[in-house]
Amino acid sequence: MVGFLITLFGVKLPSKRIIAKLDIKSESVVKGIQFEGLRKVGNPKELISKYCEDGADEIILNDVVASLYERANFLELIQFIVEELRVPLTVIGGIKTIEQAKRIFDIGADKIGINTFGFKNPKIYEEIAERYGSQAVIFSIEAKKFNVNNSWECMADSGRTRTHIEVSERIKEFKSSHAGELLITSVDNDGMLCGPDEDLISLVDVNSDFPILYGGGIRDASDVAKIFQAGIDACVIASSLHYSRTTINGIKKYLEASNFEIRSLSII
Amino acid sequence: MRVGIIDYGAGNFGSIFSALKQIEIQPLVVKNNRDLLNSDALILPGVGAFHYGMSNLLEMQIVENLQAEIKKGKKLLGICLGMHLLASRGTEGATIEGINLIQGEIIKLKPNSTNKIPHVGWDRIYTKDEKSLNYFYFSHSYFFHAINSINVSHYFTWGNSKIPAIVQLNNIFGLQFHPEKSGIAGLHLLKEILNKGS
Repeated sequence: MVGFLITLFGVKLPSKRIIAKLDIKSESVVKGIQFEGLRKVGNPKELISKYCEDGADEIILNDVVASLYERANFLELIQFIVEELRVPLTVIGGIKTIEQAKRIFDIGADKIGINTFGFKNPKIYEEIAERYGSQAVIFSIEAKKFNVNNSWECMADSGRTRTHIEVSERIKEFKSSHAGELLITSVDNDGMLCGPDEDLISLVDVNSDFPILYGGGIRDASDVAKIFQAGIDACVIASSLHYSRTTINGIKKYLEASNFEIRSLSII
Repeated sequence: MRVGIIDYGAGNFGSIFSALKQIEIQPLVVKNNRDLLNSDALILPGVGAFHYGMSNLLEMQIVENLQAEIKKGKKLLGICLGMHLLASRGTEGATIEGINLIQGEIIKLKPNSTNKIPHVGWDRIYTKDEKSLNYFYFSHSYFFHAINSINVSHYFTWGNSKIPAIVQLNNIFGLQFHPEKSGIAGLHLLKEILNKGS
């Protein structure tokens, strides 16, 4: 298949990214289907260590519970990742205030992502970006298909609450939000291992200036190549990794062979 | 060698601290001029906005001492925002003066047909004679525009342009990327810079 050339008329392209996402509840990694029915799938430290060894470019940790008393475990997990694994880390799940963000950044996480609270306080992205830089703030959208053709609605509270706001409208909000990157997750394809929602991806103007991260349904290297070719900058994978359906190592080998620009695992 | 990390409340202090321990350097926390003088080498970490970082640093009232110690030959390594603060001036938000140890200005990256902003992800760095080195992790919206190209020892590519990845002037080093987030290659580089000439 034709991949992106590493250099396009002599210009080196920036690297695409493979991101492993882990939903964390208490001491376990959990996974649902279409954001429901969370099942325990493994030990966080073990899985994250494995993904890092395999070449994960970033890790996203989602605090599923997002409540105060559960956070001690979660913060300790962040510390482990920062000190032992030193992989770029994004934290999402229930972030409401700049103080919470500060706590997460102080331990050493690189980015935070906000979905639900961004509806209640649209200025939160700018507040955090002002101090930590826009590159540290991800604007997160959970997209669920309407009954109407080619229309998606934004969901909040981990796919539970309807917002009645169209994804295409919400993307406009992102552009003026001061957040640096856009993360779009397909609620319909989440955990389904059915491949990416290509129609949803085509909603985003991939030629615009900002990095776009996509997650939901990714099974294997072929799915990843497909969305990279469509212009997505980073793929977010959960189920396929947690259920050992694919490996990051395998995906990267495939992508390198297809001439995608990707961080190779060999060190000079 | 006592390596002091300047703690000025601008993030990633903890991750640099633990990275140094992993390369068998016992770091010190620098919170004031006495800590500064007690260190044989210094690291200026930092994540976030230039204006916020520089204001915090000024509040600590260590900038003059820092400039003096560096001029005497003490090694200084600036990482990410810390690298930016080495410049003469930053333009993020309001324009504010930097520590002014390597002449240059911090200006915003511009997107082009192949590159988006912010610049987030792993990228190769290159030496001046176009030899490619390892991938390192970048996360920034602004870059160090050096006045003298001799101060740029390594770069990354941005469309047809070359953007400084490492700036250097004698005992002063600045890294645009995050060595503490760049796996083994990052740790090796930290070790190399800190042990250089010691």
